[in-house]
Amino acid sequence: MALKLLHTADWHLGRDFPAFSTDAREKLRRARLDVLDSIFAEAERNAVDAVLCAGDLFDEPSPKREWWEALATKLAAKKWTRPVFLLPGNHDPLLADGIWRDAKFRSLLPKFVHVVDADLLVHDFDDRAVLYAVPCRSRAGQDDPTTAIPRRAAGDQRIRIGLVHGSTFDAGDWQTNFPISKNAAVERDLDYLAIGDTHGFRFVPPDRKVNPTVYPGTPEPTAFDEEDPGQVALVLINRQRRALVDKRRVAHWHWESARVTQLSQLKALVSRTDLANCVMRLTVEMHLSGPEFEEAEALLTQLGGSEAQRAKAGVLQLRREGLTLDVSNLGDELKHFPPVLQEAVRTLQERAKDPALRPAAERALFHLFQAAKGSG
Amino acid sequence: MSAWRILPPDVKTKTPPGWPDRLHPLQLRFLAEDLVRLRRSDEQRRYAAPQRSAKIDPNPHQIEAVIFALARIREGGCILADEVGLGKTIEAGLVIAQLMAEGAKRILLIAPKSLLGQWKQELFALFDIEARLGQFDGDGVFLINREAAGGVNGHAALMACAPFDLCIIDEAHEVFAGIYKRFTKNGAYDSESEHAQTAGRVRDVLQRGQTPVLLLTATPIQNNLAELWGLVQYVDPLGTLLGDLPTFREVFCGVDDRQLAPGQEEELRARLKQVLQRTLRRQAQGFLEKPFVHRQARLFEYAMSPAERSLYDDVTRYLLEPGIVAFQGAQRQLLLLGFHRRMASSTRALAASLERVAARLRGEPVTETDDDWDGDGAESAPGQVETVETVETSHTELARVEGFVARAKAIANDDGKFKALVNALNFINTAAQGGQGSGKLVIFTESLVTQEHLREQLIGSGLVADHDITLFRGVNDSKRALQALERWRNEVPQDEGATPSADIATRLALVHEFKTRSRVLISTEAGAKGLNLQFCNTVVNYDLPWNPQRIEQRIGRCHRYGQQHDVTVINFLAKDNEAQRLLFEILSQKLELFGTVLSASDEVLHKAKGSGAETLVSAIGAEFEVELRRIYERANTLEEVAAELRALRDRVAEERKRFEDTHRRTAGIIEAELDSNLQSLFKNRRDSLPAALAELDRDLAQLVRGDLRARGTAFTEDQTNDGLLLRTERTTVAIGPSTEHVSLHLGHPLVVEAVAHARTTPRELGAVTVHDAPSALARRRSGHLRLVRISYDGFEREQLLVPMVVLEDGGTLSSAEALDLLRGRFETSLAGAARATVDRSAVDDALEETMFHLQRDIDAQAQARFERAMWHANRFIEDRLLVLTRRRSAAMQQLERAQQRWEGATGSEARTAAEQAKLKAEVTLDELAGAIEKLSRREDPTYERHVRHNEQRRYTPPTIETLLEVDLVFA
Repeated sequence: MALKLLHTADWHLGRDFPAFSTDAREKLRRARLDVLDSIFAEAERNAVDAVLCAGDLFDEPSPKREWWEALATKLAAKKWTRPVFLLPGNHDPLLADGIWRDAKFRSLLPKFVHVVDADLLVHDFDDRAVLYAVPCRSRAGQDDPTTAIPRRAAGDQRIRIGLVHGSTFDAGDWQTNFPISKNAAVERDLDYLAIGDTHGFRFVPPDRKVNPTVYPGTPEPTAFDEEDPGQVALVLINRQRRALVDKRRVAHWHWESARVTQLSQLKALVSRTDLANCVMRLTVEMHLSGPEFEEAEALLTQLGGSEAQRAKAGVLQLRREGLTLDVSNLGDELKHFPPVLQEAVRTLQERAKDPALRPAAERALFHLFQAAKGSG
Repeated sequence: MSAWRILPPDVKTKTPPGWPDRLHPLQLRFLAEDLVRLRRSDEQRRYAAPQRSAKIDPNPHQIEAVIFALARIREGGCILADEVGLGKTIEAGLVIAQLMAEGAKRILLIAPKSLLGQWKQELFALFDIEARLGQFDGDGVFLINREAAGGVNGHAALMACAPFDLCIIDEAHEVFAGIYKRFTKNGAYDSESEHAQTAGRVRDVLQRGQTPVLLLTATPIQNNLAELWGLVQYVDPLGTLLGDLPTFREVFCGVDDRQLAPGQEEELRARLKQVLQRTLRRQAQGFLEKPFVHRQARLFEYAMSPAERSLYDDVTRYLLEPGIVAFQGAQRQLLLLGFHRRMASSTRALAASLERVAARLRGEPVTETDDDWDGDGAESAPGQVETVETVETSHTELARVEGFVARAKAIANDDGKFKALVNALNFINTAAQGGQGSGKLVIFTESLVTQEHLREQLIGSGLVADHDITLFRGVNDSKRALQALERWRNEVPQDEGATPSADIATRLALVHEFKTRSRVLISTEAGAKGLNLQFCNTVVNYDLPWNPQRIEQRIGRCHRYGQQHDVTVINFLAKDNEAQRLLFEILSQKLELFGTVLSASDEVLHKAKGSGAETLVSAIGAEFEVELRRIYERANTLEEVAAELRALRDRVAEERKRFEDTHRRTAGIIEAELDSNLQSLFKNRRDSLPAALAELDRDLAQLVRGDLRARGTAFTEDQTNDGLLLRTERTTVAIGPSTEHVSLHLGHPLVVEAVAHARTTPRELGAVTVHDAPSALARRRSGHLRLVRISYDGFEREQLLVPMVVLEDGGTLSSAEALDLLRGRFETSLAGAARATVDRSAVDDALEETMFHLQRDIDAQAQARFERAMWHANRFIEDRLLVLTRRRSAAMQQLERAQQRWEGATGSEARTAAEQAKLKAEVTLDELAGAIEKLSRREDPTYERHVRHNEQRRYTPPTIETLLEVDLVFA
């Protein structure tokens, strides 16, 4: 019989998102727990033989109780016999006072959950397959964890799986943390090498068809610049030890950076229908006349929401320093102002030439513009 | 390796090679299972299949509606809301036909009483479905009028019988939208509420059986958003799409239920799009086999003779007198109203009514108060009437009435209105000669006496021969009607199986008579609903009902799908009758019932009806009739009637303006699709359908032929003018389209039998020799075939049929290769012949890999739908959060004000009061903060239930059944 696995990593439970508003922070933190339901459901639906969780499951070595308790509760609710392997990564290494040694946490975990708390964990799947798992023991290290995996013994026909956490050096930003040889799977004759660390789904190297080494990436994105996050890997290894690998989307959020320099772009963005699950970082760089500025404000309110309306974007991080008012072009309404206010407008326009005074002057002029419209 | 089915819907596939003449049981099994497996709603074969069970022209917008409805069935159903005239009946019929072919057993259809006949007739004529009335046992389609369904007895019967697999509710906006009235201020359902009891009882029935619902309505939104919310409750059993009523009102409604809150239009549209499908006429127009035509009215004015005029005035005055004896008691009002209208019908009808009044005044027994009235509408109210008791007064009155009778009879044939009808006939003839229409006309009158009068006068005038006239009334048992029935039975091929009831048969026969023989159909109100007269393009309103909806229904007999010409509506107006003129003005100008109104001499001009006109009619139609009654009941003089009518006209104008304002603001929320998107979608559907149908026909025929041969049943096939006909001793059936014969379709008995036979094939089929094996097999000698059915139980049910072929050397065939192999020549090997040598566990492995690939495509679909469903669940919470956040702001302001008061307070009393206010605001704020936090964490039982539901739909593992195991030997 073939062997089926679900491979996931980099949950980063407990990760905080201080750059966001309180509400958004809560949403994003909670999403990291919610996605576990989708992961476990996917495992169940595909009747996998095991779930491999390849490190950085918590964001720090000693996460707050709410996170480990929630994880343990979710696992304990499963009426499973299929093994689930939890591997310490560099964010949550196997430390004496870390979460993986926490008696309370461990006591909550059901029997089918195996924490990789030895230098090498070996798990036999009947006589079909064998899993070798090697944990991170510190936040940073220079050793290739795959070197701890024994080579195939002569005559051993079993499927061999590796489970480690570290960097394969092929990503753009080079790290020297737990370096893993790109050829580790071949060298150790692993039919599948499950790794965790980088947050996008990747084959290493991308074009190799045998002995696949896979990063499933984080199941729920953590930043704007991640490439292809939000998935888990489903793996089927047949009797001939050929692995089929597929990715399945489980994330709730997709993160997106956008920059608009024209009002029409902003309009197009706001009319998109896929924003409800979007964490949007929007940079606005536009120099607009009074009426246009007002329209832009209204569109941004639609995007970010107000008390009167739901936000179109699930989460909005707005960078609006580049949105400026063309103080010389405020619209015709101001012409109907009494002379004293017209005088005020002229003074403010003068002040706006001084970069230091500009923001305040602009704000005041915009308020005057709105007042003029209201009274007109 | 590519999967067996998985091609995106609507990708044209290369037509696979044909099947051999003689099919092996394994091939029959494969064909049968492939025909009946459950497909996703947007798979061509699924939406093509019901087209064959119906005698209709396929229209892309209807296909779209069927796809939408089928996709929603598991989730509670949907609202089909095409504009009037786009065939919602057909859409519902297609869904019924398909679900029945897939195993649905019991279908409940709830309609207004007046439409039951039409439903029964159309289901029979178009879908060969004999719907049953009045009982709910066993399997079938059950029709019930909505008042009965929502009455105490009907409710009890529906609750006691087995649950239904599907429920269709026609004209759903009329009664069922009112369900919102049964919800309390805090959003709870009040099962004891006195409001909307019909809607409530039907809701019970549906909830008990968890029955999915199709709501049919052209006007899902009239001018009340709470009604729209009400409709959605039927098709959203989780109750989360629009949330509870208070939240919905606060988030989506403005100052009242008629106003949409600013900025919410797009959001509401996106929500409704999940459950509501609507096509507008302008969107469908370009794709209709028979495009829409316009309507225009011709007004024929006539002058009453002085004698007519004075009789009319005298009788009216008499009727308006408060103390008259003839009309007393409970029925007084109805009787009086009937009388007023009879006068407007014909002098003959007036004379007949007067005679009955005289009889009653003489103390003769007159049981039926209104036996001239023919129809089933609310206006007619036959019943017992108290006999007249005040003998003395009635004696004087009797003399007066008898005088009227004599005068009416004397002038009955000097009839100004009939002369106007003659002019109208000449006008129609001229138009027909000029190529505008068939020259046929249907004349509607509310009165049986007028009906007979017109028949006699038309024959007497020499304009129309006796045989050119067909009469239609509530009970059609005349000799002529029976002859028509006889002729219809002989001339129209009757399908085997279901036979229509006598009532339906007679209706169909009389329409057939009018279509094929006569020229004029004179019909009472009984024919204003349910007759399909699209072959006739002239509607004559000899008299006008007071309910605008009924006039619309009359015109709708001819102005409906299938009409080829513009429809002319002819009305009559007495020149110097102000009451009539005012009434006509309201109907034609304020309600735009007739399209452009022209006098007989005007040039023909086309003008489309204003959008929303039919919604307007439906919204204020019933009230209008009540108003008219009130006017005639209260007025004492003709002048008062006229004055009241003028006031009514102005009120209607105002109402219309207000309605249009509201409608303009709200109608957009149910019109979700951009025209351009729809056009390309429709085009795609239209273009891809013929090929899909051809493939379906081919597979159905192949299975049936194979089955008949296997069972030694003789059959012949002939290409005829009416398509390819397959005949057995018992039956004749068309393969592909046919006008006269039933086409082979999934629910046809021959197909059902063939599937049943194929399924008796044993799973372990032993060894089978394959002749002419395809080249893909190269030099290999043997293999194993396992036919597997995989069932996915997600947002939609879907089954895949996978033929796994593993060869002796462990190689596998791709799906295309396996299909190729399946179309070869098979022969069961003799016992003891060489057996294949493939290990079954190798087949297990191959199957697992195939499943792995299949799962990816299924998951992609399921994930998209899951994300939509989760969006829907989250919106439910976000709406409530929005409400709570607003409350929090208000509470904060209160706190601020209390704080200011506290700071400025002088004296301990003021200080204490301010302190208490502060405390109260603080408590409120605390509570709100708690509630907001809880909701932010998604701690809410309804939400949790919805999420569990979504996860179950998304992640339920498939079930796998092995249908056949066959060892293959390649010859």
